[in-house]
Amino acid sequence: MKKFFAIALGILTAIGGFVDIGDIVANAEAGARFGLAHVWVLVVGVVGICVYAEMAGRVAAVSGRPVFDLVRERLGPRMALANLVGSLLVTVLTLGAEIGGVGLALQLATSVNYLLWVPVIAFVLWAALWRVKFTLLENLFGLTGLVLVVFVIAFFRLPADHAELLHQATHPGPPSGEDWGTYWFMAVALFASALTPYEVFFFSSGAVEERWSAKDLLTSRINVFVGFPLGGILAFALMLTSAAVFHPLNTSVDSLSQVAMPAAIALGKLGLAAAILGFFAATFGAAMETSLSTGYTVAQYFGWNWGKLREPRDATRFHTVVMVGIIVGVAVLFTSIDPIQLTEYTLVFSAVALPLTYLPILVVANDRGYLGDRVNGRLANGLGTAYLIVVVAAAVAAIPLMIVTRMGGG
Amino acid sequence: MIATVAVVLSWAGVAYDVSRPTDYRRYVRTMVQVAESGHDAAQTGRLIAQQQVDGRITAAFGTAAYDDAAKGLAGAQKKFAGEGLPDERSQRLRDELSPLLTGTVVALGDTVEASDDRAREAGSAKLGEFASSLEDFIEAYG
Repeated sequence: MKKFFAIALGILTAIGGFVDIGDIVANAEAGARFGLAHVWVLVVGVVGICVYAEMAGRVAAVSGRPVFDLVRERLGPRMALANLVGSLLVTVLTLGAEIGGVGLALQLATSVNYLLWVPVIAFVLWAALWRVKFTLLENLFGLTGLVLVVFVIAFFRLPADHAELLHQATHPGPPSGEDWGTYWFMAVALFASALTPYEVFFFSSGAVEERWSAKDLLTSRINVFVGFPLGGILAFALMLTSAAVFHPLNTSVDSLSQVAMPAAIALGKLGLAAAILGFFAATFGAAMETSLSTGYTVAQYFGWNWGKLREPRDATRFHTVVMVGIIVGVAVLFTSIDPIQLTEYTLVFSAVALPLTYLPILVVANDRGYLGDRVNGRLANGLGTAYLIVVVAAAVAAIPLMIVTRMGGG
Repeated sequence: MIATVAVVLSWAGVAYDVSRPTDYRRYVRTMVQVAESGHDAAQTGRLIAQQQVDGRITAAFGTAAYDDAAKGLAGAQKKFAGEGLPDERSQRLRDELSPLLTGTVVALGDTVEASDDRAREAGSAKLGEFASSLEDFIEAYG
C-alpha cells in the first residue's frame, strides 16, 4: 500500500510539475495564433521527453550516478564542457524566466508590479532551497500545480467551435494571416518547451538524491510514461482554451493575464484564482528545479560535493552556484526585459542547445560499462535516434527562423 | 572557425537588415504589425471590460490585465512613430492608420478609467469597433 501511494504521489507531482513558464507561453501563443495546428508538435515533444527522461532515470537508477557526471567521464572534459556551457546558459536564462513568471502570477493576484516581487521571490526561493526538505518542496509545488486542470474544465464550459478545432488539429499548417516561417518558428519553440534540458538534469540528479536503485526502475518508468503525458494534457489545455477564445478573434497572446482569461470567462473568479495559483505553483516549482539544476551541472562537472540532501556546509560550492544562479536570473530580469519575451528567447536558445544535452544521454545509455544489461534496447535506441535527428533539425533551424520571422512576428 | 564565420555573417545580416533604409514594402509590413498590436490590445481590453461587467474577474486582475494591454499598445505607438516615411504612398497609409491607433488609445484609457458598468460597456463597444476597423486595415494591407 505504501508503495502504491508513493507511485501515485510520484505520478501526481510529475503531472503538476510538468508545466513551466515555457509551456505556458508557447502553448498559449500557439493556440491563439494557429489554433490547434501545432498539437502534433506537442505530442512529438511529450513523447521525446518521455524517451529521454526514461533513459536518464535508468542511467541514474542503475549506475547510482547522474547523467552529467557520466558524460564527462565517458565523453571527456571538452565535450562535457560544451554540454555544460550550453545547458548552463539556457538553464540560468530559464531560471530568470521562471522567477519572472512567479512575479507575473503575483502581479495578477495583487496588481503590484512584478519587478517589485522579484527580490522577494529570489529570497524565498533561496531560503526554501537552503532550509526546506527536497521531497516536501517537490510534492507541495507538484501537487499545487495540478490546479492547472482548471483549463481542462474551462474548455468544456467555453462556447468553442469543436468541428473547427478538430479541423485545425487534423490539418497542420499556417492559417490565413500567418506563413510557414512563423508556423515553423512556433513549432520549434513549442518543441523546445517540452524538451527543456534542465528537466533531464533535474530528473536524473533527483533520482540520485533519492537513492534510486535498479529496484526503482518501475516507479521511474510509471512516473515518466504516465505522469509526463498527463502533464502534457495540462499544456494542451492551455493551447486549447487559448485557441477557443483568442484564435477566433485573430488576437495574439503575449501576456500572462491573457493566458488566464479563458479560465475567468468560463468559471469566473474561482477559475481565475485557480489559474493564478496554478501559474504560481508551476513557475515557482520550475524555478526551484532550474536553480538546483544550475548547481547540479556545475558541481557534477567539476566533481564537487553536491545535493539538496547534503548539509550546506558539506556542499558549499554547490549551494554557492545555486545562489549565484538565482542572482544572475534576477539580474537578467532587472534589465527590465519582459519575462514573456525572455521566455521566448530562452526557448529559441534552448532549441539550439538541445543536441548538447540529448546526444550524451543516448551515448551513456548505450554503455554496458555503466548499465550492464540495462542498456538501451532496440525500441529505445530507435526512438532515441529518431528524436536526435529531430532535435538537431530544430537546433539548426532555430536561429535562422528567429531572424527570418523576426522572433515569430512575421 | 566555421561556427565563428557563421555567427559573424548572421550578425552582419541582422545589422544590414536593421539599418537599411525603409522602402514602401517594409513600411507596409511595419504598419501591419502596428495594426496587429493595436487590434490585439483593443480585443483584449474589450474582453477585460466584459468580464468586469459580468463580475468574473477581481479588481487586481483587471488592473494588471489592462496594464498588459496598454503596454502592448504603447509598443505599437512607439513602432508607429519610429518608422520614417519613404514616399507619398506610405504617407497615405500612415494617415489611414493614425486615427485608428489614436482612437484605440483613447478608448482603452476611457475603459480603464470607467467608474461604472455602463461606462465599461460603452468602452467595450468602442474598443470592439476599433478592433474591427484595425482588422479591416490588416486584411487590406497584410
